[in-house]
Order: sequence, then C-alpha cells, then structure tokens
Amino acid sequence: MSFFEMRHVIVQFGGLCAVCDFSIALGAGELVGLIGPNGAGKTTVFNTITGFITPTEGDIFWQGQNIAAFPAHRVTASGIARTFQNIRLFGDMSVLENVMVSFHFSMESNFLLAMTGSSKHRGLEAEIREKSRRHLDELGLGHLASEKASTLAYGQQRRLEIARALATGPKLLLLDEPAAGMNPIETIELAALIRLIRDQYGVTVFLIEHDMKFVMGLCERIKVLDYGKSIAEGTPAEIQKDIKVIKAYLGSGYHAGG
Amino acid sequence: MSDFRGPAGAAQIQGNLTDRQKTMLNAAALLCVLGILALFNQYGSEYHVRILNNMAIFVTLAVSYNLVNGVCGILHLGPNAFVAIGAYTSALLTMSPAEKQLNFIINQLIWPLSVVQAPFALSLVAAGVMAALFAFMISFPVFRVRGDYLAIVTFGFGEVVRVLCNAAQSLTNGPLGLKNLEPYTNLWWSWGIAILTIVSITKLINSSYGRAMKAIREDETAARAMGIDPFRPLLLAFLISAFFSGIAGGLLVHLITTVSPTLFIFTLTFNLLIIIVVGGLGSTTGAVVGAMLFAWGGEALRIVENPVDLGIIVIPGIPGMRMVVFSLILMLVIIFAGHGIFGRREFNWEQLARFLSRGGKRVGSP
Repeated sequence: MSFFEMRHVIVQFGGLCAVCDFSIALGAGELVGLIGPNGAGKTTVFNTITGFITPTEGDIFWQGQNIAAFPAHRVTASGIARTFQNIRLFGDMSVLENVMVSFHFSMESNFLLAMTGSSKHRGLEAEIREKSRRHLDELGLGHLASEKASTLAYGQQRRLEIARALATGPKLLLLDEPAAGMNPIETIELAALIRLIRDQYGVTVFLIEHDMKFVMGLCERIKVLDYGKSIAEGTPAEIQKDIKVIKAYLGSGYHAGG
Repeated sequence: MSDFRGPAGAAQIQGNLTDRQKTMLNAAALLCVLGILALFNQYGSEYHVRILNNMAIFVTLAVSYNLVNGVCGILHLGPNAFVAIGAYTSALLTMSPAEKQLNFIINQLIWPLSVVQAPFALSLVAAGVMAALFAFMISFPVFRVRGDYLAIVTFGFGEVVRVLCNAAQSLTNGPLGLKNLEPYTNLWWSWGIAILTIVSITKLINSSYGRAMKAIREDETAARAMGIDPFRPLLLAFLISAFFSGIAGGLLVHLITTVSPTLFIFTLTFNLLIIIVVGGLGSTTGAVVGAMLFAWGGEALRIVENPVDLGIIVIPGIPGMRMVVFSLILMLVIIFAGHGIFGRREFNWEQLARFLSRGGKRVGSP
C-alpha cells in the first residue's frame, strides 16, 4: 500500500459533482502539485482529505486506516496538516500563541492541573513555549514572536500559516495556494522554504497553486483537475505538453504550437 | 527574558519583572484586599458591607460568564439558569427540615430534600455541581449550533429553568419562594469565592486550554485544522462557568435570605452581559472592574434621585432617574470605548510598573 492514497473519491453537493472519481497515490517524501482551472474542485479535494467534507463515496487510506469519515481534528492528529487558501490565522493572538495552539491536542494534561497551576502543567506549558519558539526561529519568524498575528505583512502571514501547520507534527502537509498574492521575490523564498520543509522535516508536500512557474519549478509530479475529474498526471514537462491540459486552461479553440 | 538581573529599580523601569517579583506583588495585593475587607468587616456600616458582598457575587458571575462569552466568543444567554439552579440547590440544603415545613404550605417538599440539611460550605459545592450537571445536559444541543442560533437556544434554556422554578411547586415552592434562609454569606465567603474564581479562571485562560478557547473564538475552522475538537474546550468553559455561577447563586440567596423565581429573570443575564461588554469582552480584568462599577454605581447613582436645592428653586427627586443616568453612561462607554474599558487587555504588573516609571520619573519613553 502506498504512503497516502485516495481511491475513487466522489464528493457531491446536491446535483453537482464537485469531485468525480478522484484517485491519487503519494509516495513518502514526494512533492506533488494539484492544478486546474478555477472551480475545478481542488480545494474540495483538500477539504475532503482533511475531514472538513466527508466524501459521498470512496476511500482515503492513510497510515493503514481509512480516514474518509474522520472529523477534521482527528485527521490532524493522525499526521495530516493543512493551510488555507484565504489566510486563517488566530488574528488577535500573538505569533507565538498561534504556533502554541498546534501543540494543544497532543498535550497530556488536564484542566484541573491547569486551573490549580500545578508544577507538572507549568512544566508542559514551558516545554510547549520553548518548542514553539524554536520552531519560529527555524522558519525565520522568531523576531516576530510577540507581535499580534493580524499585524503581520501578507507574506509573513502565509509563512506563519505554514509554521503553525508544521507544528502539529505532520507527515503530510497540504498547502492551498501558498504563493497566492505574493510578489516574485516572496515566491522564490517560499519555494526554498517548501523544499527545506520537505528535506529537513521529512514531510510529504501536496500543494495547490495557480502560479505555473512556481508549480513547474517546484513539484516533481503534477495532477491536473478539471470539472472534478482528473484529466492528466505526470512530470511538469509532460503536463506542459498535454493536449487535454492545454484545452482545459485555454479552451478548445486553441491549437498547441499553431 | 534576559539573563540580566539588575537592581529592582532598573528592572521596574524596563518593565521586566521576574516571576518571583510578580508572585510577591500578587501576594501583597491579596493582603491589601484582605486588609480592606477586614476593615469594612469591623468598622463598615451594614450598607457598605452589603454593597461589597454584592460586588463580590457579581465579580464571580461576570468572570465566569466572560469565560464563555468573552474568551470562547460564544453568545450564551442563559447564565440566569445556572444561578437559579445553584440558588435553589444551596437554599434547599441549608434550610432546616422544620423551616422547610413552614415554607412549603401548599405542596409538600419531595422526600429526600425535606429531611436533609447540610452545612453552608457543602451546599455551595452542591450548588456548583448541580449547575455544572445542568450545563452538561444542555451542552449537547447547545453546541450543535453557533452564533445567533446558540444565543436563542441558551436563552430558551434560561427561560425554561425560570418557568420550572415557578411550576415545580413541590421542589421550589413556586412563586412563593423560600424565605428565612440563614444569612451565612459574609465578606469572607463572598470575596473568598470571588478571588478563587478570578485566580483559577485566569490560570485556565493563560493555559493551553485557554489558548484553545481563544483559537476557537478567532477562527473555529483553523482551530479544527490544528487538531482541536471545538466541543471539548467549549464544554469545559461552559461547565466551569456554570460551576462558579451556581456557587454565586448560593452566595446570593444566603445574602438576601430569600429565593424566588423573579430573581432569575432574563434581566440578570442582561446585567451580566452589560458588565462584561462595558468592562471589555474577553478581559477578566474588565469583568472584575465592570462588576464592581455596576454593583457600586447602582447605589452611588441614587444621588441623582435626591431633590436638588438650587437656592431659588428646589427640583424634586425623580424616582428612576438613576436608570436614565445609567443608560447615558452606558452609551458614552460604547461610543468612546467601543471595545469596553479594557478591550481584551489584562491587568499586569509590568505594564503598571512601566506606566508608573514613565508618569513618575519621565523616563523610558524617548
């Protein structure tokens, strides 16, 4: 069995088939892109993997379990983390606190220990604070630790989202349009960051992106989605030449090379 | 925090206090409060002691209500139910069987309750536990919804409890209420509970559990993606809030020595909402200050109802005038401090030290 696998996943919203018969297998340590025109169902695929949407049909295999019916928090606890297309930080909390939240689900304490301020609980809190600080330092956000998350610059907010997702300790990281709204320099930095995450943290990365230069330069394998159906899969070079992909993006009136 | 440990003065100017210093300051503040209470207990008039008791009860209620509404960002409109349940539980436990016979003239009190009697402390614990049990029961329907829907559901449960207090005559004595309770509540009880509430809830808010609650308030979807099951922190906040509200209910009825269903109408919830909004939604400091202002202001504003002698003419006192002034003050607060007095800020010694060193010595700011 592969590292992560979706088999014949169907998501229906009423009469609309948002994702129709989608299958994909990811190997450990791969860097895979998911592209497709607007409304193709890319984010729905991510929402299905992360438990925000339960698929109408199909299975999602991860770590030897079928996680298709898992609620979102259990999916995260099982080692899949994600970021959001529209940034969803805890705006009124500090950058450090944003990361510290990621350690809550794995904390072995209880509320009575917290309310009485027991030394065991304070020890755990200090440990989480220390880990979060180190984590922020590694991702180049250390100097912003005490800033309010909502006051960060756009690129930093995207970076913090990734940092926060990584802090949950995932083995598979889903990035939903990480380069959206970034300038060319920020995009180059982001690509370096994603490679670093894959190489240093040993995390498999699956990402949605519209910036073709970014996707083609970064991903080893690309899956193309159109109207909820997978229309192509291959290396960046193969995808660029695929006639179906060109049609999906540019319309059928366009003749490749013509 | 830096490793540099300068003299105390230098540390204060920089506004960095060590944990040890903060603990000392907290202890000193606690001693001050206890000293003031002892003074009032010894020399204060009955009127002043009563206001202080009221203050403490409202502080307890506001701080626990703020945990759900301010910290979790849930618009919960049923704390009057928790207070009512705590009040009746505690009252029925402290009354002597003979007193109960005298009170329940139309319907007899049901059996086990008619013969039991418990000390005040135990009755308060029971009040908290019963309120928390009720909160647990209603939490499943309540947390299936969010926003306005949740507000309506909790408001509904608040009303249900009030109506039950009226109707369940063999349990609550209906509209007649319970009279002649022992006036057990004194400054030590009321402020003891208030301080316990403040300290334990503050510790909870500053812990990982509090961060999870705030995360849900800020963005529930993101919180779920970070591995948090929203139901658990919300339930925790709800239960703890109910527990302390129930205890406050017990304190309240042993202060005024009677219980009747009219005590727990929606106005009680509404007053608590005003307190935490004026103090600053999400700020425990705000809840404390708001509750104290509310309990004291209600009495202090009686001045505006007195006749005014201007020398030439005498304006007669208008009963109810204080409510008009009260509303005016409320509007001013909302207009000039939209997020309440404290916003989401909390009191902390470091800021006080910075503030004092800047104001006193004109240093620190460039």
